[in-house]
Amino acid sequence: MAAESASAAEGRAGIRSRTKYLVAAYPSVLLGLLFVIPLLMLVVFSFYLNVNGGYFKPGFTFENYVRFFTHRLYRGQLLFTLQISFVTTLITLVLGYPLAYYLSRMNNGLVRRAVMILVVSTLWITYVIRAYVWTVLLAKSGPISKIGVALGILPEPTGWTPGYWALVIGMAYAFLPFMILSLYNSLKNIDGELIEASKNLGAGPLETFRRVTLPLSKNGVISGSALVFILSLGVYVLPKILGSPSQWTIAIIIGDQVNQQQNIPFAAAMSIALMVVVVVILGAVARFTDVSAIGMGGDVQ
Amino acid sequence: MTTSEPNTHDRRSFLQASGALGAAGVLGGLAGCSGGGGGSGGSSTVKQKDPSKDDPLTVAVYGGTFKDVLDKQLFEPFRNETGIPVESKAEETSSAALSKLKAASNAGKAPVDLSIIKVTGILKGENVGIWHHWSPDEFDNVSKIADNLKHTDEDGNLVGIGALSWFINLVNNTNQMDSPPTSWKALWDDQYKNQLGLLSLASNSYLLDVTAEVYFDGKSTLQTKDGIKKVLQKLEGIKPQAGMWYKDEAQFEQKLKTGDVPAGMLYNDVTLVMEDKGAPVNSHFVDEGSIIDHGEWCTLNTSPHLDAAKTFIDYASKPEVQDRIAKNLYDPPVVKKKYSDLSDDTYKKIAGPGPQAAITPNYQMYIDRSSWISEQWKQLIIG
Repeated sequence: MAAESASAAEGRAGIRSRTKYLVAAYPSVLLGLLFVIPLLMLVVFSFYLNVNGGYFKPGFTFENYVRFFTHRLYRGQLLFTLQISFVTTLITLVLGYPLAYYLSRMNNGLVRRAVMILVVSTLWITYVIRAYVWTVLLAKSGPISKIGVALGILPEPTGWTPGYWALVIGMAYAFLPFMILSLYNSLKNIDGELIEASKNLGAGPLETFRRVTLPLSKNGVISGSALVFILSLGVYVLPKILGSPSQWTIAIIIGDQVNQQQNIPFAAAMSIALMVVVVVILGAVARFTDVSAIGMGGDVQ
Repeated sequence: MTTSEPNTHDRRSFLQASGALGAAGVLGGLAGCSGGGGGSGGSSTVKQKDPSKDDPLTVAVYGGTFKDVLDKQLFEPFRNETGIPVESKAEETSSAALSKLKAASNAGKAPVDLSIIKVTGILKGENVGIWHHWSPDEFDNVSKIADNLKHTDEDGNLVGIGALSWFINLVNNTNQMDSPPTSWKALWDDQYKNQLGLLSLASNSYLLDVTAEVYFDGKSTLQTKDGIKKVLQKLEGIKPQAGMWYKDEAQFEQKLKTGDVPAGMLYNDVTLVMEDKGAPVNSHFVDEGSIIDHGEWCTLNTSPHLDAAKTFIDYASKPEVQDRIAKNLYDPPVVKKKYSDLSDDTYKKIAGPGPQAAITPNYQMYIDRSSWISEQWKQLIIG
């Protein structure tokens, strides 16, 4: 009887133990299938050989990486992509912070929810539609130009699309919600009593912002900026519609290698190189701002 | 494979062993993409079946107006006359489709049974062996298609069969421009500064061919890298006139219609459709010759509906079908002129002085020097 009972207990423990492994195995398998294997494939393909006018064949060459880092076309477009991503991040931060702050301090829950839905609702529309809207708004015959001329701000009808500023506006518009949501989470978690205490100790609104609010929302700023920066680095549709060739980002160049040239190895090498650049930048941000990878997720320290 | 003669149709390694190589093989296998230089296509090993309502013959065509017109003038009559279930699918039909088709072919799948493919795409697809090869004897009407609109392999088997042909003209907004450009030389004329919409790929604008034709010795200039470099240098002169570089015509159509970009290069068929819809636009066959381009029916070698595909291609090659499409799509028929019953006025509207007067792209150059030309071209328009 005792033996039977021990065996039953062992059985239950065995099932529990196996279940534990099964539970752990699920995310591991998922991570492996969805992230590790595709990434490994990308790395491997990046060393394959391209067949001109054909496809590619297995092999091992550094030529794709050498070509990417030594040809001024690719270097130039990589630098441009980094530059426009930085400008977009800065603009979304400047525009997003006051709005996120205002939302986080808003007492009326109904209005707050309404504004949040308004902010998030732009994400429900595809990038293509949003880009085309800006091509109409910023066209020479568009409403902004007409209003500018009517108000005497513009001497003659002016079009901004395709062009650099049209692209910056389009990107800032597309990625602003991500910045606002990141900042809002961070600002919302700031204890209101700390701000109150600062005021009670004689600090003015600016002093309170500089010494209390801003430092406490640092992680939100970093995480929002990192998110917008990374999204901007991969932007593909917007520069195609709103930009001239000189505003083609590296993602377009990669897409062209896949779609037009069928040069998968070179496209893979460019993707890996871009990924390395992103990791290096994020690593530098984490190091110099003293924010951990988890902090970049937006948690308040 | 033989490449068609231009403009003759009377209408128009180093492998280094490494630790990664083993993984490469495994992962390459996982991807179903071992690459490879290709094969010869040829006969299918895929189990054949008749198309059904749930599994119809699927044909990839250009989207928008093209699909609308082809649905009405080609697919519907074909379905009614043959009883074969057929479905048109708006898909990328240029080089962009090849990666997808190649991956599907490797996996033994056929996302579409046949597709309209441009010559550069046919050549690339042939190099990787994804097309089915047909014996010319299998068709009744294909012999009526102009010879330069068909691609054959070394044994004379058909790989691509002419489907559509089109012209790239100079166009303008009639409200915005009193003296529209009618010569390719206008691309270098600073009176059109910042006013022209130009196609943004070397392999769809064919501006290398145009420049070689207008300012150099035509195709012979494009035989060497030095010759191409000279042409590219000359093309630097068109950059100030480019108000926009576009890849998809919809982008330029909008700007042309509003007059934001009042002129440029555009497909004659698209411009005529715009005109029909009331847009203030005009299309001109160019003094030195418009650009003529075409697409051919190519069948994926993994198609399970080869018999139906053959019947479809043969049907689409009938002169009366071609004339019907030409009248509604404003593209010249791909059948030899003697088989076409189009009136002279209609023909002039859709083909101008005819394909003999047009500039035919040097397709093989875009294959042989694919990467280099693409890089040089991007450097030109980006720099």
